[in-house]
This record gives sequence, C-alpha cells and structure tokens, in this order.
Amino acid sequence: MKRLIFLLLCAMSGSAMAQSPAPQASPEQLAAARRLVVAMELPRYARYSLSHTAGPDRESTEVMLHISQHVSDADLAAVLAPAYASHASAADMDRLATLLKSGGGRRMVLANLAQQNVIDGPKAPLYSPAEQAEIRAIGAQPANKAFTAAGKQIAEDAKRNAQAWRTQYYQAYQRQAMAALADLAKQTTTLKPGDPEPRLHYQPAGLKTLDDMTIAIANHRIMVANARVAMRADLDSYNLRQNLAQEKMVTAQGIADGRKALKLAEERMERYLRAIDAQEGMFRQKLQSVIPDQQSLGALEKGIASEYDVMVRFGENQRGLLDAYSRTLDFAESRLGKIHMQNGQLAFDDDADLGVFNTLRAQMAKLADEEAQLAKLGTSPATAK
Amino acid sequence: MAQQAPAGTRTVQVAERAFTRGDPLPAWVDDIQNLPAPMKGSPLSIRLADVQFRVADEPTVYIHRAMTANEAGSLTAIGQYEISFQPEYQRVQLHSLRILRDGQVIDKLKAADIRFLQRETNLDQGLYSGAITAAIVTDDVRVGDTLEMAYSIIGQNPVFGGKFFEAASWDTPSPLSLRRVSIDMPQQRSIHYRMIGKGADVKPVEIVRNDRRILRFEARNLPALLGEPYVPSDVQTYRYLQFSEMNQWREVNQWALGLFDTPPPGAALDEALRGARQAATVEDKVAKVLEFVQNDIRYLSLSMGENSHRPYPPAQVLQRRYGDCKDKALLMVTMLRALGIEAQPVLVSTSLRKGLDAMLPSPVVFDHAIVRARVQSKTYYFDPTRLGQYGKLDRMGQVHGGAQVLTIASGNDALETIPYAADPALYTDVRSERVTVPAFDKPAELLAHIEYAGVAAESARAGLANLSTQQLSKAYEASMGRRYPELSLLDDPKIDDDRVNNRLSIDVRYRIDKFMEKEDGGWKVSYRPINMVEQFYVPDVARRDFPLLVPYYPAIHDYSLDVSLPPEVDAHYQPSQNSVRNGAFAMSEALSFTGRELQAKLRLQITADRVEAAAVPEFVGATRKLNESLQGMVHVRNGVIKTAAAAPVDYKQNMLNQAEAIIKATSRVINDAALTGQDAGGAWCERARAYAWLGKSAEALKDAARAAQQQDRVKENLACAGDVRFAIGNVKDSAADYARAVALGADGADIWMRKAWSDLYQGSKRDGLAALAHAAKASDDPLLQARVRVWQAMNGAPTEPATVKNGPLPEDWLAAALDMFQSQKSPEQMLRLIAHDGANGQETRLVEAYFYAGKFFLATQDKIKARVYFQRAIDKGAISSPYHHLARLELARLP
Repeated sequence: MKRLIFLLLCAMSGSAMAQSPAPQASPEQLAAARRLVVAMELPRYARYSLSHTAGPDRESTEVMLHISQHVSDADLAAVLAPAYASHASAADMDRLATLLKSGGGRRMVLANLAQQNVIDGPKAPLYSPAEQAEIRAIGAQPANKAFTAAGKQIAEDAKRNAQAWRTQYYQAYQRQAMAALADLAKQTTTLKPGDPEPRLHYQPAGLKTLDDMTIAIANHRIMVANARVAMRADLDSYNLRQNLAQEKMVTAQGIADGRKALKLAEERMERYLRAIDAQEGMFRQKLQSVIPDQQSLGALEKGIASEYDVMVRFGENQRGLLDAYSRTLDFAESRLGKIHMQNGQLAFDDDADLGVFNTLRAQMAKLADEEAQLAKLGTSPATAK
Repeated sequence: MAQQAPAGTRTVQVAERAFTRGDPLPAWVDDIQNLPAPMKGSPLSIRLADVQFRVADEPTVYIHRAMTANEAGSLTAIGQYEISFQPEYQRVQLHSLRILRDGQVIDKLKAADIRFLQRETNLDQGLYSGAITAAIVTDDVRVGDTLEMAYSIIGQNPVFGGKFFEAASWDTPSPLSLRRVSIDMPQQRSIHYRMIGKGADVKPVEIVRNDRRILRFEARNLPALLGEPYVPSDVQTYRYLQFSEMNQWREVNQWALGLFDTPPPGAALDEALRGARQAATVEDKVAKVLEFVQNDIRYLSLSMGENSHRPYPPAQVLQRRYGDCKDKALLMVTMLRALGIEAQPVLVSTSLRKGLDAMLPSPVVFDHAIVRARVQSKTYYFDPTRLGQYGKLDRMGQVHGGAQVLTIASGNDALETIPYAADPALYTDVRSERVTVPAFDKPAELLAHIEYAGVAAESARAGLANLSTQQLSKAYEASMGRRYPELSLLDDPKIDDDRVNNRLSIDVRYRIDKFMEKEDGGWKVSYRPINMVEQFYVPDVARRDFPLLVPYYPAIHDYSLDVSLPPEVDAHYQPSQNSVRNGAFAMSEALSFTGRELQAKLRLQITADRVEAAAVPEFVGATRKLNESLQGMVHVRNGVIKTAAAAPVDYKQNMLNQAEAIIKATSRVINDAALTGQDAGGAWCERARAYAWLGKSAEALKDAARAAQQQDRVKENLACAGDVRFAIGNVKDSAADYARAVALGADGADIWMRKAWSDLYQGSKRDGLAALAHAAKASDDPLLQARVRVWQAMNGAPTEPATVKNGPLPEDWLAAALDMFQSQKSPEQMLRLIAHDGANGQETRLVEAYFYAGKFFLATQDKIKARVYFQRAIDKGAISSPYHHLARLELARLP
C-alpha cells in the first residue's frame, strides 16, 4: 500500500508514458474506487503535489496551482479512481477502504502523508497490537494485492488520466477565454463608424498567463478594428463609389475625379497597412512579455503568422484592385469620345473596346471576389464593409 | 487514537444486556459436538452451518458455525464476523468463539475485539433503521484455522404480534460439510415452511417431544454454488427455507389493516387539502394530493422497532412534514378518502417485484408501500415517495409496473399485479439530431432534441431541478464530447417541460469543428444513438443456468439523425433497412441518402424483462449486431460530390498547364526521335526542367542524365542538370554542375546568376558574390544588373556600379527592392510599386518581391514575417521562377 501511494504522488503533476489503458471498470467499481481513493487520502496528496511541483513551463505551473486551490476532493478522487477501478472488485475495494479507515489503517495513511510532508505528524508511529493486526489485514486484502501487482499500470493510468483531465481543466478556461474573444470578434467584425468601442467581457480565470494573453489579444483586436473603421470612414468620405461610377468614364472631369478619389484611397490604404503593421509589432512585443514560454509563444505565433498572411494578401488584393480601377480610368481616358452613356449604360463605338472593358471588369470582379474571401477569414480588414 | 468505524457507519455503545458473551447454551439447543471435516478445493470451507429456531413467546434463533480458511484470501472472512440485530427488541448472546488449529483449541471468546457499528449508509437517502452490527474481530487467524462460534439472537419485532416469520439460507458460494436448519415450535402452533429457489426440495425429519414439534432439515457435503450476474430479482440463485405462521394472503392483509387503521388527523388535514379541494375535476384533485404528499412531505424513514412496518399517524406526519413510504401512503390514502375518493394502501416488494405467489404469505416479503386509487372507474397506483409527478393521471409514469402487490383492503385475500403503462408513448424516449454542414472542412452545427416521457420525464425533471444552467451545459458538453472531441455549445440547453402531459424536452445546439472526417475516397459521417447504448448487460459467458435480467423493460428508444451535407453533394442511393429481433428486444434501422440529405432512423424496443437461460447465446449474438448498428457510419464517396464549376484558369494553374504542355510536347519529340533513330536534341533537357518544376524529381534527374549522354552539348547539358538540381533543392550538386559549365566556357548571365544562387545557398558566399559580379558583366540587361545589385546588397556586399545609365529602371519596384536592402525603403513601399509597374507580369514580379521581402525580414530577425512572405512567394505557384525555388529553400532552412 505504501509503495502504491508513493507511485501516485506525482500522478497529478507528472506526464504519462504511452501504454494501453486498463480494461473498463463497471460503475460499481468506479464508485468503490472513488471511496477507496478518498480513504487513501490521495486527493490530499494530489493537492499537495500540485501546489509544490513546478510544471515544464510557467503556464503549466499556474494551472497546477489553480487546480490545487479550486478543485474539490471529490473531483480529484474522480480523476484518480479510474486507474484503480478495474483491478479489483467493488466489494474488495470497499473492504480495503473500510480497513483504511480503521484505527491502524487511518494512522498508516496519515503517517504516509507526514512522510511526504503533506501534513505534520508522526512519520513512523508506534502501532498498538490491534492496529498492527489491522495493517496486516490491509496487506492481506485482495484489492491491495491486486494494486501492488498492477502498480506500474495503475501509476501510468493515473498519470494519463490526470494529464488528460488537467488538459481538459485548462481547456475549459481556455474555452471561456476563447468565448469572450469570440464575443469580442462579433463586436469587432460588425463595428461601424459611430459605434461604441468594442469591449471584452471576460472574467479573469486567475491563470495569469491566460488572462494576460486574453487581454492582450483583445486589446490588439480592438485596436485593429478601430483602425479599420477609421479607414473605412475615410474611404467613404472620398465618395469612391460615385467617383468610379460608369458615367464618370465618359467625361474628362469624371475621369479626373475618379483619379483624385483613387489617389486618396491608395494613400489611405497604405497608411492603414502601415498602422496595422505597427500594431502587429506592438502586439507581438506584448505577447512576448506576457508569455515567457517559447513553446506557448510558438503556438500563438502560428496564429499571428496566419493573421499577417491575411494582411499581406489583403494588401496585394487592395493594391491590385486600385490598380485595376486606375487602368480602367486609363482606358476610359484613351477612349474619350468613343464611349458614351446610353439608357444608363456604357455604349462602345468599337466592339473591341467593349472586349477590353469587359476584361478589366472581369479582373476587378475577380479581385472583389478575393476580397470577399479574405473578409470571411475573419481578421481581415476587409471584414467590415 | 480512537478506532475509526468503516465508511457509512459509526461506532456506538449498546446496553450491556444487548450483547453478552459466555452465556451457556440454551437447554433446548441440540448441539453438534463433532465437526465434520472441511471440504477442499475452495478458499473458504464451511464445516458447519447449524441454525435452530425456537418458536416461543420470546423467539430465539441459535446459530452454530464453523469455517476453515484454506487460503490467505479468506482470512478476512473468519477474522471478522458480523452479527446484525435490532437492540430495540433483540439481544445477542455469544456462547463461544474459538480457533481450531492442528488439534489445538484456542479460546477467543474473551479476547475478541467486538465493536458495535450503526450503519448509516442510506442516511443520505432518508433511511434510518436503527439496526446494529456487532463486528467480531478475531486476531491471530492463520491459513488452515477453523473459526467455530455459537450465538443466539433473542427477540422479535413486536409489530408482528408474536406471529413467527423467518428464513434461513440453504446454498452458499462456499462448500458446506454439514448444513442443518431446525425449527422447534409448540405443537399447537402451525408454522409453514417452503424451500424457495431452483433445486431439489429437502424433506425435514419430524420429532415430537414434550408438547413440542421439531422439524429438522439436514444435508451433507453441499457443493459451492457459483452465482450468476444479472439474474432477475424474483429468481433465487441460492435456495433458502422460508418459515411463516401465515398461510393465506388475507392473513397478511388482516395484519396490515390493523397497522393502517389510525385516527383521522382533523384540522391539519383540512389545511393540507386546501389546494386539492379547489381543483376542478376529480382527476385534478388526485393529482394535487399526490403533488402535496410527494413535494411537501419530505422523505425520511425512521424505521425503528414497530415503525419498521407501522406507519405514523397522518396528523403526526403532517405536523413533522416528513415520513417514509408507509407514512406517505397512509397520508395520501387519508387525504383521498377525505375527498370521497376510494383509496387503499398497497404493499410492494421492490427487492423481488414478482414471484411472491411462489412464496409463503408473509408480511416480511414487503419492503415498500404505495397507494391504489379508483378514479372515474379506473384504477391507478401512485408512489408518494417519487418526485416530479404532476398533471394528468393517465400520463404519469409507473415504476412498479409488473410488480405483484397486496392491496390492504377489507376482505382482500389475493395478490394483484400492477400493469405496465398501456400507452407505449409513456416509455418512449426520443433523440433527434439535426446537423447542417456548410462545407466539408468547416464546423457543423448540430441541434440535438431530446424528449422524455413518463418515468423518464419525471426522473429528468427531478434531476434537472438540482442542476444549475452551468452544470447542465457542462453535462451536455461532456456527453457529446465523447463523440466529437472538438465541440462547443452555441447556447445554453433549452428545456421545455410539459408537466400536464408529462413530457420534457431539451434542445442543445452544438458547434462541431470536425463533424466530417476525411478518408480515402471521400468523407465519413459518424453518429452514435446514445439513448440506445448500454441498455443491456451482456454476459461474458453466454451459457447460464439462470435467466438474464433485462433491466430497462419496458422501453422504446427512438433516434434520428438528419444531416444536410454541403451543396455539392448529390447522392442517389436506395434507402436501406436493417433489423435485429429476439425475445428481449427488437431494433430497426433505416438509412437514406438522397441529394445532400442523409438520414438515419433507429428504434430500439425492449420487449421482455428477462432472457431465459437457453436463449442467452442468441441474445448475446443479437446484442453484437445491435452494437454494430449503434456504431453509425456513413461514407460520402467522392463520386457523389459534384465537382465545382470550371473556374477561370488562374496564374498558378497556367503555370502547371505550361509545364504539362512542355512535357507533352517534348515527350512527342523524344518518342519520334526514338522511332526515327534521330537525336532528340534539347528535348531531354527541356522535359527534365518541366519535371523538376512539377516536383517529379526522379523523372527529372533521369531525363537530365539522358541529356548528359549527348556529348555535343556538354555546356548546355551541364547547365540543364544544374537547373534541375537547383529546382529540386540540391544546391550542392547544382553549384558543381554550373561550375563545370562555366569552366567549359558557358558565360551566359543566367548561368552565372544561377551559379551565384547555388553557391550562396550551399554556403560559398565568396563564390556566390564572384558569380554575381560575372553575371553583371555578362549582360547589358538593366533589369539583370539591378537584380545583381539587389543580391549584392542583400548579402552585405558593395553593389556593382550600373553599366547602363539611360534613365530610370523600367521597373521601379526593383530599385525600391535595392533601397530596401540598403535600409532606405520599407517592404511595403516596394510592394506598393509592384502594382504601378503595370498588370503584365505582375504575378511574376510579386513572387520575386515577396522573396525579397522575406529576405529583408529574415535579416531583421523577424522570422514570422519572413515565413509569411516566403510562403506567399511559393503560393503564387510560379514553378518556373527561380524565386519560387529559392523561397522553398528558405522555408526549409527556417526552424
């Protein structure tokens, strides 16, 4: 029994080797194993271990500490119990649990806790003859023998279960953070000029790295959204739609107005791209300061790279689109007097010109399609239109 | 340190008289002095199990047992022995306790550690019986020891009015050398006996002496009887002897009538009936009374002494606001009667449910009380200890369906059976899942609709009342999480509770990230009708001696899955049907897949509460087939996915088409040359390059090798091999090929440029810069010279002076690229100029410009941006561009 308890000491904080899991236990076995684990005081061991063990990185350490401070003994027992459950019958485990709660059994459990510095108290107590008999009875229990025989398997299973559960535990908080960010994303994607600034509705989890990271991401997204809205407002003010309308193509003044609007738009777009680039840089610096672990940072960098990729493609798309408009104006200027407005539509004296115009229009349509696709990627500046 | 009691118990003190040791054997006991030898082959062997009942004013049972531990695993069985008794009306005398070891007799009577434990295991369920367990711990027991003990339990529950009811087990899981059961009764009293369970009957020997009649049942060398799991509760695996002083059920009825005859509660009853009296119909009045007794009277059982069977008066129950089953049943009966509704208490055996007619009539076979009521000519059975029952009486669930019960009513002399719910809708649960998949690789939305009726609705209602929204969400997330690891709830679960018709439905919306699974030849949809799984216990060994219990009879589970697949799916399959049927269940499955709509419908109907032993192998086979159907899977083959409408060929596709066209054209030349015996010329080389662009390295190298066999074009062929190796990423060999080509006199600017790149990428910066200088000198092309300067600046070398000085470069962006590496412009400025340089060749320019931007960010240690730009250069698909291959080299080198 002693050896088994020690094996499990690190179950909550260690990492498991790949090994085939034990056969499935019945609900009765699981319930009995939970009672047994409580009798063994394993939740107390686990709690101590979690609060006194450093993880492979700061984030893991924070999670373990968080678990030790927030999770109930019953939940910890539920995590540890399955590793035992299939190795003995429910009746055998209940018998063992009962004996562990006897005078001798209880003192032995407490001595084990003391030996691991989990509690103060005698580490090698003197047992009365009756208690010694109880401890002998514990040793003779079929469940105890089964656990001793399967110690390695149990330890591995317990570690694996604990690791999976720890991941789930953290993922639950991550999901909470992601949900808050998703909610923010809803606000930012639909943000229009004049709307109140988007706000992050997030109750900090108490996991510093996760909280800091969530807030940093939120701030970044708010800044990007604000920049985008400002750009859109400016573009609207240039009356692009009116200045690039078909009727403008047939007069020198119209073409000049179009060029003026295009120039303004191009300048604004470049300013926007620079602003976003700068914001991206600040965001990355911020992340580096809140996430000390390179591996975690690496995982986030994939997202940053993806966001940056969208930015690059957006820049290419917008420049291409503005260039296509510009070439369309060049074409219109070169055909002044040969293109007219007729019944609200452009009419071409030369069919070949119509072909050229259609080619330009197809190019613009393709770029507009691309722009729409980029908008669907979510973080694209093209989102709010 | 105080001794600690086992879980669920606490150590208590009992009156000195309640448990004594060392008392002499009662005079009437017929003691067995010589123990038979233990039987071998089992960890525990019972040498003697002698039970003697003494029927008298103060009934006594004398027990004499001897057990041998043949293995260490059985030491616990003899080291700790438990005697359960009710100190309120019973006392225990421990006459002897000893260990027999190798001819020695070790007396343990005085030394044994005896603790009195009060079991409170059911306290959290409101049950408190007052029973005490004496745990006798004998120390120093060893393998081979025999523990022999004798004790008497004296006294009987006064609620039975001196009538005698007892039972003694006959078979055991351990071999038994001598089993004896005796009953010693006054001649004038008639105690009936019956052997219950499968197996040979045992006839007693009858002895009459001193006005007493003794019946003695005896057997020797009884083998161990192994039990089987999941045997219906009314089937007895182990035989036992039942004794009862009653021979007719009317006697039990008569006895119970006395218990349930209590004074009316008066004013308190009027107060309790206020709600019911306001109800419009008789049916509503009954429902209100039931609701009151279920919800306003807390369940708590204090079943001590007489009150194990005698209910507390309704007035007291109303005042306390708690009661157990019989208290609640009597209160409900009293309330209904006060409203003029016919009602009676009903005794139920929840442990046996049925098979009572095969037993001797006895009050002790019952452990529960409910209510029977007649409402508008219909008979209803209500359990006032349940929760969650409201509304129409006909829609209420019945948990005691199939149970044999005894209604406590004047003149009643027979058992009756509670019918199962007549309407199958009352035991049908429905789970439907509607999934919308917008695109194969996009998250899907799943709407699960779960509907319970009858008992299941009541249980769900009571269970949901104890869950917060957060807990409920977590539970539903967890239940679906086993099927689809990557999911999230889109909303809190929506509960719709129709209490009147007793239906409760729950709607849960999920987002499932990977609903469709990619597989060879298409996609896969997996589903699992989770309301149908784990309905049966399937034994490991199909051969049985006893029937197998089917725990959830009657029940119908309906499951449906409707999936709207992406619009490009167009399937035309014939609907298929499948069914599995046997004595215990019937399952039907229907699948259809038409257009983009996929539908699966399954129904599992549980049709019996047991499977007879002979039919278990067939049942096991049927459950296997059932489980196969429950692992639902539908394949969406590529053949049913419409290909997208032909999109305009883009730049990337153009490049691929060009390479394919080169391969086609050169292959023709090569084949024709082979037929005519002529030289294929540069076709081998051209095809080798095209293969290399397409990533077909083996073919490319093979063609390059064939080209090298042509001795008349050595320089060109070496350059060709260099190009091929460069394109497939082998810069070391390409540098060697180019070096040999220039050594043989090749002097084209392109070759020098490629040599420069190969040298630089294999780490020979000096050779690379030298090759760049050669390239600049080998051509007057201002663009090439500009590129040389870009590469020189990129590598921190002084730039070549421009040899052509006729105005600005035809492509401004190249000048901006140079400025960028000289820290005078940003990559954004360079990229902005790309568009200004005209539409023609824009994609090719972008490939090169993205490569330069990547190099720029690499130099500034910004690997994320560098990676993005290199990737972008590759994504353009300019497979014939050297910058495409250079970007691949860079990405391969990035960590």
